Amino acid sequence: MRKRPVEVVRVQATASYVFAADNARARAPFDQQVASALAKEFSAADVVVQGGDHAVWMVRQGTCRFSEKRRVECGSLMGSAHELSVSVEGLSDDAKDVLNEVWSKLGELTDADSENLTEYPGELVFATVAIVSVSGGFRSAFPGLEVLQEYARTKMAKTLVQRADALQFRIELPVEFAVRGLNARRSFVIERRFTALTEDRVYFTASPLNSTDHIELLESLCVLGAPPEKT
Amino acid sequence: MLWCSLLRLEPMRNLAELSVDELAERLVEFAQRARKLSGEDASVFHEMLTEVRTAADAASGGVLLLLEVAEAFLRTLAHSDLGKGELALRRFVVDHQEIAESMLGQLVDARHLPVGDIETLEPNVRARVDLLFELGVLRRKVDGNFDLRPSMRALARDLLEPEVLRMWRRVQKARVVAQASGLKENLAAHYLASQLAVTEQQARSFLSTDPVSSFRLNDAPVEGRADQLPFHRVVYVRPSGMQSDQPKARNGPSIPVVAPLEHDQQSRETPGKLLSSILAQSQETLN
Repeated sequence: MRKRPVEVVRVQATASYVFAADNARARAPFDQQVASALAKEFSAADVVVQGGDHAVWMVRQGTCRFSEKRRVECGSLMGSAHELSVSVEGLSDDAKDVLNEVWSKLGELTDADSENLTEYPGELVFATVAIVSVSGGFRSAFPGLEVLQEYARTKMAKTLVQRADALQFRIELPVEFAVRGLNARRSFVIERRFTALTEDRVYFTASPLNSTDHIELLESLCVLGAPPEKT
Repeated sequence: MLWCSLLRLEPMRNLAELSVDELAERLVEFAQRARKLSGEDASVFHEMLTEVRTAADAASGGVLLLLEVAEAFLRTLAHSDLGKGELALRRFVVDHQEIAESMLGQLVDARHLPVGDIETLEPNVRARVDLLFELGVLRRKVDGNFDLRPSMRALARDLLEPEVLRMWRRVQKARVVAQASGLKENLAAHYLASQLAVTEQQARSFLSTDPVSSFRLNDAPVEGRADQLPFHRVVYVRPSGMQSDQPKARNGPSIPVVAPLEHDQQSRETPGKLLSSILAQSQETLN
């Protein structure tokens, strides 16, 4: 039986649509009545509106009920004049469905046409945060970590506060990409989960990718440099 | 399964039982025919990828290696930004086009259908429909009917009618209204931009090569200040100099009474009502 190198413990996916121009429907929840109606629709805990130059509205801790068998927990539904974004417990395809649902509800609340979100000039953007368990760890993908840890253990042993074999590491690759004329800065992150025990192989990971690509990235890293399995 | 019938392969559950040579031959054939599938059939590739992965999880040795190769190339083809509901709906339309058209054609207009109709479907179609219920694309109502989730109606409409024809119809509708209302170039561009979800610059560029010709009634409108907001009703001055009994206007172009557009059920509004909604929008943006 094939053993998957990466086991997903928990995943949060974000799906956002960045509009090319000011969008009235995305701005609608700045109206308190619309925001309250939206929060009620998604059984949300609260609504926050932040003003200023980068005004943002946010509906937090809600649930999107598609059917009796399908409920998606939503960490936040948020938006501004140029963007609509949802963050859910689940994969990007769940986030995309919730994004469509929020768009549709806003359309009902503002008496707008029932057009697809993607018919408006704009760009769909994803992000993923995943807690994963990796049986072999990421050492084979980052052999330099072994060297770093060895130096820490031998050269700094007496002064180390943390045990050498329990050292935390964080790998971050910042990237900047263009989304409809705006520059967005995001990072690829892999780090040992803070609450994980030494013998655990549990990692916090984040990327500006959809969840499928994110997990494939981690699997690719896991097999990088690993010895081939005996068949 | 569509791709199985299209590619004439055995169901995936038997692939893991083939010898390495047989599997290699089948997968090469499979890849050659898969290339012919439309790029829009991401839902088909997505399901193929799921089945290859499932078969690979249960395989070993040379069979596993071949299935992993198939998985690698399917991964690119199956990549999509679609949600679960969107994928399932697309797959339903791709696999069962006639039934989908018959069912969705009614549901897209916010109508309901009796749940009893589903029970007469063949098992493979019923399975697809049950999945749509599970994902929330279709919703059971308490009155024994079911409908299509509102957030899926636009997608269903796209799937039933080619986008190019829908867009052509939208452009034509906007042009007819702009033409009938006698809008000047800038206002016509603003109106088209709002109706077609393009920028004003794009609409202006389009109209420069294909302008909306003006439509004038015999009655000459009262000239208003060009810098004031238009779309108010005007006083019609008949050639004899007598005023009509139309409401007094402040400025703007004439707004002739035209018949509602009959070819599109969605546009039952008269041009005057459409333009008044644009007024509210233009005032909002200009403010």
